[in-house]
Amino acid sequence: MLLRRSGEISEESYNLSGVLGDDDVGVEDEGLLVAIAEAVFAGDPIDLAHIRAEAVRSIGAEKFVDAIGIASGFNGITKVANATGIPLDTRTEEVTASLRQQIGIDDYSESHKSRLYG
Amino acid sequence: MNMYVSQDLPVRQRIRDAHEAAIDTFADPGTWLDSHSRLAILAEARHAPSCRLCLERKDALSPYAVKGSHETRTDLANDLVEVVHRITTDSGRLTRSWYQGITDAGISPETYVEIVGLVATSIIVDSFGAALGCEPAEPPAAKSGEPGRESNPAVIDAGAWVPMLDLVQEETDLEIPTAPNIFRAMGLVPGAISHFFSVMRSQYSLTEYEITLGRSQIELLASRVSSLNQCFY
Repeated sequence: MLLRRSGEISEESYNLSGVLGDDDVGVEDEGLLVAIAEAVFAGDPIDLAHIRAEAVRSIGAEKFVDAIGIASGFNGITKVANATGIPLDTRTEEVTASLRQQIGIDDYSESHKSRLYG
Repeated sequence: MNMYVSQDLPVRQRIRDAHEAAIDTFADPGTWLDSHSRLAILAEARHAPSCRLCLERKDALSPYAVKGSHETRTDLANDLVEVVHRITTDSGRLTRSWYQGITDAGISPETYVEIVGLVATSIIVDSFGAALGCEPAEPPAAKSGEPGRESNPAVIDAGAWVPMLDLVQEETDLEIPTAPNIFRAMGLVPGAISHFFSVMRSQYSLTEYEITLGRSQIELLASRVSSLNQCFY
């Protein structure tokens, strides 16, 4: 949800529904960045080798390494959030209520998961 | 240890340093777990993606419908293996009732939090290394010494499954507090916070830092990975 705030600060408009779906978000190099995110999450060595080669060719080695730093960091920090059941920070909860519902983030909420899995 | 030196990719020195220190720290006696157990948790986190039970659960509509035993690589107790494997492979479908079952079975919230920190730290280091094309870093040998077993009294019930750090909050211009809940989450074990965030901070910051990506690109990557992990936060 910081992407929403990032857009507000930079006065740029992003299509945030694309974060969870297939629509374009409107961020430079987003196709490649999304592919990097998905490959880091999945962890398949062959897919990672392909995306690494493509990224180094396309955006350069420095940006690729910085991108996997972000992706791997969030691959870990989400485990902390998921495994401790932390609520949203108060202000974030207030200002993102309609956005969460609109793009489907509420499907990841504690109440929704408890309804699904007990 | 010289992590990532065999790669010709430009890994920032601050990340190398943080990852090397973090792998070494697995072998230190922790707050509630000894060195042997912490290293076993690292080994189980690495093994979990190929555990048959975890793979079957991941494919199931509900992971709670699939019963069985985890395939293990260590002598870690079964209930601890369940925690490590589930957080590693399917954290997006964990629920409060699952957590309560874990603690009712005898794992203290403090031990649980220490495990969460170890697993999450290992995932950052290992998924970064895998993306570079590196084998997982060789863990150090176990060390002697007992866990400190010091409870942190500066925690409160703030709506999470576990007590969180009790800190004064002020809002930043990003509309998040100075100490967001993700930082407070492992408050029961301050050593877990420092271990985990020593790595996380080397790779991501909410404020300006040395990186070749723009802020929107950073947050797109973060958002996409969070979505793949079914993370509400």
